Amino acid sequence: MFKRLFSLLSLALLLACQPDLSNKSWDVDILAPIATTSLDIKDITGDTLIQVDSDSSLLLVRRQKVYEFSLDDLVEPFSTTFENTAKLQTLDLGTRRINYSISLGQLAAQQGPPFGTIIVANHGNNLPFPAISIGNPITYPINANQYFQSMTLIDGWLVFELRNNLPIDLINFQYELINQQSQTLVISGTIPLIPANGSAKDSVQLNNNTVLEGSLIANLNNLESPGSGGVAVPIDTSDQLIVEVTVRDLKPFEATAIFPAQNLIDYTEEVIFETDFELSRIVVDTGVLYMQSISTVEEPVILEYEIPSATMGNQTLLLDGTLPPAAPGGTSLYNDSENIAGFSVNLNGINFDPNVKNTFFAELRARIDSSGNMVFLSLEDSIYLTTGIQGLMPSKIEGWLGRDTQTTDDEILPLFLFNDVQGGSFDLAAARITMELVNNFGADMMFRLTDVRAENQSTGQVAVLNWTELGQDLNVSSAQDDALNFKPIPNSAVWTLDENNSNSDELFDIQPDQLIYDLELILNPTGINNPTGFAYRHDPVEAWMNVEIPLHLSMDGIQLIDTSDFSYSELDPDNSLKGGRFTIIADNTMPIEAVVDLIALDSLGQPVDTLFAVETIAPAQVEADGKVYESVRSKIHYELNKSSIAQLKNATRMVFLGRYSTGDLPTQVKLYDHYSTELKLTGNFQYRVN
Amino acid sequence: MRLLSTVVLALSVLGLSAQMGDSISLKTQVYLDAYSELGSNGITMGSFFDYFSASFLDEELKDELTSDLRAKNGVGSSQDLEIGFRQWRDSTYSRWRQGFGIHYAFRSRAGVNASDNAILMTLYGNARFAGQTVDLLPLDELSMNWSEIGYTHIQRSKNLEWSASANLLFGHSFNSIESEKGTVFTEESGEYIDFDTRYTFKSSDSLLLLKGMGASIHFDVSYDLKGPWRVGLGVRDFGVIAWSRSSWEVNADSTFRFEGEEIPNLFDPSNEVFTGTGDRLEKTFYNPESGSQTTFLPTRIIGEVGYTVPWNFAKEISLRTDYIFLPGYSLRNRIRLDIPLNKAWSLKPEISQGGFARWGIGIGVQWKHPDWLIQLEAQNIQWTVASASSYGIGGQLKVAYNL
Repeated sequence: MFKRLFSLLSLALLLACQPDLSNKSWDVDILAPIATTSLDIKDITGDTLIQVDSDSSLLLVRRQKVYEFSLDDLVEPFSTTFENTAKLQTLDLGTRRINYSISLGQLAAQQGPPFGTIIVANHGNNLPFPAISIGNPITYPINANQYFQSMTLIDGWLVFELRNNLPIDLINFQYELINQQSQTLVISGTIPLIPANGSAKDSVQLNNNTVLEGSLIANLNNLESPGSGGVAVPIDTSDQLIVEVTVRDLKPFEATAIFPAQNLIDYTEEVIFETDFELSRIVVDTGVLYMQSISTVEEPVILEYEIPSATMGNQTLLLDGTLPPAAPGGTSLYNDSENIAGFSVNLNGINFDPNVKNTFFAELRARIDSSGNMVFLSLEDSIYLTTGIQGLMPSKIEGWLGRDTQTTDDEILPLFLFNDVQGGSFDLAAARITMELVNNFGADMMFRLTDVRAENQSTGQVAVLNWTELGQDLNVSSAQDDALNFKPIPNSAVWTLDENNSNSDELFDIQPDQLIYDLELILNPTGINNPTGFAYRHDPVEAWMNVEIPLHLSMDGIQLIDTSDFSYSELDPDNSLKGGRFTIIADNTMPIEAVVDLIALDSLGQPVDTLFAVETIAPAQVEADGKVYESVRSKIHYELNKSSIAQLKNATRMVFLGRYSTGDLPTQVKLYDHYSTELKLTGNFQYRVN
Repeated sequence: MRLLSTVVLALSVLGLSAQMGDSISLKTQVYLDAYSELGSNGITMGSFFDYFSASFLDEELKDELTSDLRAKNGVGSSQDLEIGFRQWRDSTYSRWRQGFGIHYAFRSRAGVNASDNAILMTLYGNARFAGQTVDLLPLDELSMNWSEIGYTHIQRSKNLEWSASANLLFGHSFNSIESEKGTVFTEESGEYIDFDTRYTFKSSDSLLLLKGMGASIHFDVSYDLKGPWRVGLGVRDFGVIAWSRSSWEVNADSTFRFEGEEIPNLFDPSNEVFTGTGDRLEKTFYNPESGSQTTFLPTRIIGEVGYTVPWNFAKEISLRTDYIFLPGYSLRNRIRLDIPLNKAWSLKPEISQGGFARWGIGIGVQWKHPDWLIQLEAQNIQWTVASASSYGIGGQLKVAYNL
């Protein structure tokens, strides 16, 4: 502050004194205010802890949760996995039919004169049909490539049916079916008689890895006819002998074919929701439904995992996707997952039977649609499918929660009432504690509190609570379910500890920093099954402790300590301070005397110097009505010598250590809202002007 | 500049018209004139030397420096260094002897007028004034350095001689404080300090050697009355300098109580003790506004009366009064005796009152030759015999040579 003033004055003098004499320096005595502050009991203990009573006296009030019991303590996160593998033996290649026909004209043309010529010449006439014998093999290609190129069959049937629309019986019909490419025989046989305008069948089982190619050759090795027996029959060269080849019930080992649409996997499974309760419904808070699949199938595979028990609105829980076709010799992958938060899961089983509990069901389907593409599939192809639920935690459960006992021994509860108090002692006139139990569960609760004690870890002092209700049953009825708003309507009970039924004030006289207790919590203590029970995850059962300590006390050397940042450079930017002293001018309306020491800390938090106060901030005088109306002024001096100044330069923080005592011990004084100590920090410094 | 050009042109025309039809002889002179003076009416010469020789002002020296303070204490200095030449034209027919000159000069003025309280607070601090309302006024200061190039027209007749100079100025530095109000009250325990101040602080602020430009005139006239009397009048450094835009001005007009920085909660760790105060006070006391500004020079006015004495040992006695518009400088009266020792040498003893000092004794020595003039003066030498008086020291050296 004075730097500027002295700069101006010095400048005026020095500029006038030519030649330049600005290298002069001298010491001045500066007397100046530095800082002002007001200290009251709220500053010492924190605003949030202090409340004003109706008579303007002060109360130290703290509400602290001492116990919590939530759904997470009852239910473990639920996870389950389903694994399925689908093989090609379940594939269906369908029924394939191939028709082939031979007309009378074709037979005549192949037979040649004279028979052939006569038949052709008498088309449309009636003519006795002579006996014929076709001994030369007739070869016809049969093309099934529109259905498959090749297949190796474990099982299946090939049916060879002949429908004779010619006017004559056919006998000794010898045939064979050969794979065109490999020239392997698929089937051969002889049909002794095919009556005129009648039919005959032959079939063969295709097993033992019979190979069937899409390009086949049908050989007609022999065909005879006794003729019409001299009876004139109508000659129509368009009459046909129709050959129909049918393959069915195929079980291929491998095939290159066009596969029809079909299901590969389709089953339903009931899943048990592992819990000790008997639940009829849960609402999911967190959880993921997932699906991981690997396929060697060269067709797209459609996957669906559905839990019909789980709904949200009108929507059931469904995870679906399509496995892409695998490359030949390779695999394809498909992963998917879905957050299932918010789904309501019925746990009454597959038939939604109210008597069934903790059970839901899931359906898994895998299928292919006919793509129309010719693909190679083998029995070695497979679909590996993993589905499941991960980390399911309910936000609400419904049902019977069971009878359960939770016990905590030597539970430690940190107290934050006297954190800034480092030493000394006080004696409280009274202290009041209210215990509040809040039941948010749809189950009756019973608490039993035993062995409560307060401990000051610094001094090792322990104070044991004496309370008439200790060890007694403290019952709280079930909460009501406000299902529409998805929240409970809690039920609570309150017990008060005061000087009439306990020694509550003695607990706090030792300035405890923790409370230690034993607690027993019994859920549904009667054990009667209540199927309408419930619990919400985010609404736990809670126990609260409300402490009210009227600041009516005596104190002896109570130490309060706190730290402020300290910047020496702001006080003395040019390092010109040579000595002097700080003075605290205190106007005190508190009936408490105080000694405040200033401790300088370096950046590591180590004390570098302590300015000890040799004087005391005097307490204000209490009038006859127990209140203070006039402040008392004190001046506290802190000498600064060269050594302390040197140490202050290394300081980055300043600790204010106050020791407070009520003046007339052991009389207890009551503290009121208007009490405070106005502090003004001044400095009387020897300052070197350069 | 227009004014300057007009003056130069007019003087030239006057000179030319006077020369028409004359037989002319020229006389040219080069000269050096150095003058320095510093002093105070509140500090003794002995104290000044002690002050000058010490780098640290201990308590004893501070007591010594302040032992003779007055309610108003002037401290200041004035320096001039001038070189130039003059040329006269003598006319056979004209009663006028005309001439002109061109000079370069460096001039420095500094002065402060400070109350004893201001000096005491500066040297001792405010603690000794606890419980008192201290009036710091007067507290004014001006310091200015500049150089000039000037043209001088000189005209002489038998009884009258006058000269006028038009000068182009180059400003080098400038500071001024003008205080109208300045009281400080420090509560006895330092609980608060009341300030009531109103002042203006101006300064040139540039790294350039040339910080401003301006113009000035000097005018001197001397007239020999009938009989033994002679009178003279002079005005020096009448002009202005316009300082560059980087100069600045502080106007402070503030009445407030300083009670220290308010810390809402001493036990709140977010507080930082001793911060922010400097910034807040600086805004109150020291909030400069930059911009160009024009200032008047510290003009000097001189009046002189000479009387030719009928004594054998002395030639003339003169009374010279001068005043500089400079804080700390009071009207100075000087009585001087011109004592010729022989044709070449003469002594000029003097007694003065005012100026930077309270009073002073001086002596000058002059040596004259047809071509040379050398004059050396020492002023305020009284400290050698009366150290308890105010301090002052000064000197002048004049050297002139006729070519």
